[in-house]
Amino acid sequence: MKGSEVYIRAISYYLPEEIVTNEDVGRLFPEWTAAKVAAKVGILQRHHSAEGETSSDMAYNAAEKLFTEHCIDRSEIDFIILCTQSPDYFLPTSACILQNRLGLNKETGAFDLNLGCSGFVYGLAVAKGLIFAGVAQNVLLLTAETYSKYLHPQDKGNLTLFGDAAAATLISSEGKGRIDEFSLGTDGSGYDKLIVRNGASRNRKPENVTTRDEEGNLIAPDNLFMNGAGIFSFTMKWVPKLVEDLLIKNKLVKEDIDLFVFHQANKYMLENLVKKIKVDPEKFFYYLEDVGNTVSSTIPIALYEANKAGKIRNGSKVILAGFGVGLSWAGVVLQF
Amino acid sequence: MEENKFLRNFIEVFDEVPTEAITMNTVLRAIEGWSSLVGLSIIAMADQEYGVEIDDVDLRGIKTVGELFDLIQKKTNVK
Repeated sequence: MKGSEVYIRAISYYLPEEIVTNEDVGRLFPEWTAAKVAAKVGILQRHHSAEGETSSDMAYNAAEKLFTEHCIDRSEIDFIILCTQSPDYFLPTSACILQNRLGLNKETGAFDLNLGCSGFVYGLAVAKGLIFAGVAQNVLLLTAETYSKYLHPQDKGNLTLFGDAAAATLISSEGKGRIDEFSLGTDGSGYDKLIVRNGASRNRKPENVTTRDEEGNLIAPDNLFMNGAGIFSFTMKWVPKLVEDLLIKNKLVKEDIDLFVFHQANKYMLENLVKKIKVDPEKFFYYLEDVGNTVSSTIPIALYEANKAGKIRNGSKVILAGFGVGLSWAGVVLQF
Repeated sequence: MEENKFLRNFIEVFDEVPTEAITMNTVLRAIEGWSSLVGLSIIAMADQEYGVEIDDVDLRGIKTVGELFDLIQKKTNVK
């Protein structure tokens, strides 16, 4: 162990080729007022993985991009974590496949982390722990999700929101963004508010049935289901508390924070959080117009873009907050 | 809690003001322009205007505008 501080060293991300615009969604659902919904959720287009292109394929591309873009010597990496809810197989662990495919040393630790919107921050917490404990020196955290493949063809709501993407983040004992104190939380009683019910161990067989809720939203247990109101009220209740707890744990006040980078769920939800938490809107970063809600990759993508836009400078204090499926939430303060 | 103010707040949750007259007896899901997104706006309105938390289970149990008014009032009084 070199020191007691752990940093984000570099981030890159990958978007699959196919782009689905709001016009495309409007053509599929002529009754859908695409423009109005776009204005509310703040998403103009999203990317979809190709048929046969999995999360681990996208994670591979993101990692290769990281090595090239930031001149990183892959032999330095001694731990790889893949955060995904769409692994290649029930077993083996996709991170093991990636160790080989990326040509990483055999002395590399590897495992998958099954979390969604809170997954990136959880990955940072685990990586910090590994480095702090001297288990690893350079942790490659990959976040990758192909929710598009879980969508029912008639589910216009979730089609509008979600996009596929992967991000690669290198965490080391040196770098630019020091990873400070975390706040994590879980409410498993809300496990069914965002769920794919069928296909795994609890319900192995597909049912091929659909129903509609009282709002007319499609419910297909073989596919992704989201109780929008449930997720929204959960977020409004817990994310302000998460921010408050983070400030206490990091001995900071809200005014000390230079930038808020939250999970980019949708613009409507984020705007309501800004109001409720009373964040200076100038300090709140949005990046979802071109990519949509990419689940565990929204925060690294937004961090990358915020840095590119000059929003992060030396000395900047940045709050990250992820929240959603689980229900699960996680935040951390980064010091640049 | 004042009824007229509440009705004004309620009407504002719609992107387009409903053409029909909204009364306490109006059935929420029968209002033209109702969608699950409007449901989210009601949760946000209750929070921002009245400081009360409404969740998806509450919302599902509400049929009319008046029932929403009663629920918010009840939650305000409990605080």
